[in-house]
Amino acid sequence: MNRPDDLEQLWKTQPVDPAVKGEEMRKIILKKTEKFDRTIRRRNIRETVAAAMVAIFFTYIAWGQRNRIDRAGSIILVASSVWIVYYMWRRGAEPPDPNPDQTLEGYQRALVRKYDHQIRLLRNVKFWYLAPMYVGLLTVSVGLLKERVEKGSPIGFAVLYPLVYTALFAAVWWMNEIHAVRKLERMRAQVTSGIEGGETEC
Amino acid sequence: MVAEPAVAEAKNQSHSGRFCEMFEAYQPALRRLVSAYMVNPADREDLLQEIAAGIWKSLPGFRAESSERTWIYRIAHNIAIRSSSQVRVRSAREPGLESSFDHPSGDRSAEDALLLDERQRELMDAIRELPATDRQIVTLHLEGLSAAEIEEVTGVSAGAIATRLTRIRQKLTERVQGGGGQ
Repeated sequence: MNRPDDLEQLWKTQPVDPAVKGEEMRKIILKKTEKFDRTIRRRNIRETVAAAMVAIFFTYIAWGQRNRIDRAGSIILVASSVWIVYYMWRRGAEPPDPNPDQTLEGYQRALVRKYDHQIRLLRNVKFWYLAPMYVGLLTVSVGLLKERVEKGSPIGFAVLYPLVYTALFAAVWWMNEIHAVRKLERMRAQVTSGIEGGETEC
Repeated sequence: MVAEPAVAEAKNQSHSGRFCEMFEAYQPALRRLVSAYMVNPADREDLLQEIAAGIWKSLPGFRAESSERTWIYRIAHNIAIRSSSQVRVRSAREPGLESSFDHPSGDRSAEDALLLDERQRELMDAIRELPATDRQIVTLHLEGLSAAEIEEVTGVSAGAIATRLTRIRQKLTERVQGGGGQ
């Protein structure tokens, strides 16, 4: 191979950021790893506690409910929260980053598979996360509306309530399926352009 | 069973010691490598830390089937590719985030230093604009790896490496000598 001495010299003499000691770097990465693990652990606990609270609350509601529709809605919500926790722990867990000790092509393909898994998971949020909860809440709302109509009470709250959670669910859907998926697709495109040898924009 | 904690402690110490030795030995090359992927100093430091973490995690699995040098470069480039794909997406949304390298002038005459800085900047910009595989091949080549070693890192055959290098080198030389954009 013909060496471009000038290029090599330019490359080797380029100014670089100041060096750090190996021990210092070891401490930095261990601290970062611990922080990351703690964040994931706390997130999982937070999600499980939130689901448990929803399950307990709607079990209580279902128990004391005489209205059949409300009771059915509460039971659906309890089942949904149990299902969501199960799905997140068993199937929703992010696959670990690919092992970096492999060839570039192997690593890029593994990275693309990881992005595809995350995209699939986000695209399915409407089925495994939003739909079960939404059906439960909608059923409860129908029960509430029916009860109010039968009692001749004002129905304002019973109509407003579904509008609020529909907007909330739409925002969650948009954040996951549109915003986050687009971001992942752009990252995937960056990686695949490397595999295919196409030019990447800077 | 009393010896077990002592064995674990010794293993841990040898892991730490080996990591520190490797990191310090390859730090200049790793810092040059991160410059080929990131412009922003904070991104460069983050990437270096990610690479260091990758080496730390993979070290117990290092069986010396490949040389230490190719093993480290493989990990470093793979992590750099993942990280740069994330940063490029972020930068596309936040224009102006990336800043140019802060070049120290050292003790060279001001004019020489400026000229050298300019040529180095052109070289780094041109390298960053290459597709991932080409970027990896040329940076390994500039670090002094042989075609066989580059093949070990990238998985691209030595023949294809030679062909690609001719093209890439020509492109980079034109850019550095031209001293202008594309």
